[in-house]
Amino acid sequence: MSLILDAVKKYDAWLYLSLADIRLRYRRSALGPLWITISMAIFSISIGLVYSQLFNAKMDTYLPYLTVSVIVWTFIAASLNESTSLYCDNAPYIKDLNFNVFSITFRALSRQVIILAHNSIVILGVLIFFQVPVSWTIIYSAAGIFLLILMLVPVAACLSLIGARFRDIGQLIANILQVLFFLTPITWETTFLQEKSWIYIYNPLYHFIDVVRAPLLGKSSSPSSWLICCTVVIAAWVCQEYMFNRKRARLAFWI
Amino acid sequence: MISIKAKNVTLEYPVFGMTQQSIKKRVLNVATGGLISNSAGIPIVRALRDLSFELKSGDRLGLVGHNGAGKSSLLRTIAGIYPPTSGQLTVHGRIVTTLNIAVGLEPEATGFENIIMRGILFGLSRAEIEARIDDIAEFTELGDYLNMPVRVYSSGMMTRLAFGVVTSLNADILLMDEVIGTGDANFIRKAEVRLTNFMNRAKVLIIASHNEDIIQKLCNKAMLLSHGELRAIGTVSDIFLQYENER
Repeated sequence: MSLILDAVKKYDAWLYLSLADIRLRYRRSALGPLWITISMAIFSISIGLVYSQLFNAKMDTYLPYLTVSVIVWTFIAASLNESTSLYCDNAPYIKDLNFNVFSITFRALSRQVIILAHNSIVILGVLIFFQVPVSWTIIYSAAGIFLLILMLVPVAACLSLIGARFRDIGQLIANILQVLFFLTPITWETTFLQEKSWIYIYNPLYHFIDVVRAPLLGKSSSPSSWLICCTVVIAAWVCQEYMFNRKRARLAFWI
Repeated sequence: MISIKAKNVTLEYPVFGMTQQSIKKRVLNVATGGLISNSAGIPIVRALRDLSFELKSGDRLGLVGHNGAGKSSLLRTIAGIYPPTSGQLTVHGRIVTTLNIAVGLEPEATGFENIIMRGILFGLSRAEIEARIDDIAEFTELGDYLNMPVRVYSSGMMTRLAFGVVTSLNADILLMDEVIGTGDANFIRKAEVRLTNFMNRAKVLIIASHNEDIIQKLCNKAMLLSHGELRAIGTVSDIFLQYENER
């Protein structure tokens, strides 16, 4: 726990590094980080056009739904995918500098948050274009994002630690996430199914996406979703504490 | 009070990615010294055995020994990177290591940006970096190059930058694996002065080196390591005498 607090205290360090990462990645391109926004807009509009035909859904409700879903999903999937090789990729930081591992995790996650912020411009555009009624309940969405990040920190840290020891984890997680993209209500809505289904009910990622998504689309997510999210967050932190207390010291030997 | 206290410190670590070799060994039934295997069959190296010593303010310790004697392992253990398998190690003071002074150098970032990033990586706050950025820039003599991306630098220029940042730090305990330098002929005197100041600011200096002259010059104590064991600790000339005899 003291390591996490230390990393939180030194927020200006990882924040500077993550901003620099994004700045450097797009330094020599004319549009710069705007490319993040553009690619996401192109991606969601094109699969929106195809899938709305496929599912026979109305464009003005389906496209906002899809855009929000895909953007939140991309945030989750990219964070988790990156995490599995994070400590290996940063081996010199850990082995030569004794750099706080949580600062490494925070740097990676804040990079993803910056990308999410760029992508949310697309959400804004879509909401305005389709005149989705937006009210003050949108604040729930921010709470949802906060819960999501609170879940991603311990989960990503654990995956990084496991990924350092077992190098197959990266491939495994990438495959699981690929399948989950189709199994989670992202491109399809829960109403497309005849009844409440186990297909999504038992999928925690559905609940995490829904607490962000529903308020943005002028709906509200069920209290049970919030409850599940909070439970998962607590469980994830407990797991993280347990795992890091037992194995973090070994990390330098694994990478 | 700046100090390092080691009591019966032993360090063992697993070596992964050796499966092929170990299978071969099992087939050939070759016994290996220094390597032991754990129950899962992962080879374990005993890098340090039962080390006990104490260092306090003013100590300049030279680590002497063959390759693989445990010098770097000891530096990493003191730095808190490797946890001792058994024994106690107590370290009081702010540690700076120069194991790898160019970690995380970003080729696309400018010299100035790299100075800031390197400062952050070595644990400085933004204010501390801002306070010494002029001094570092002046030392490197890179001038307008500092506004250019580091990828256009020659390797000598990159070393100067990395060297300039690390030597601006204030360490209580300084751990060096071989002496760092700039390797730049015209620059060598200036770098030496800066390095000396850097080392003098440290209360405790531990330096691993194969170069006897360097240890003679910089250290007031030496430690002879062999196969992870502490053979002797004493004055530099005594230790080198013993090292010569054992060789």
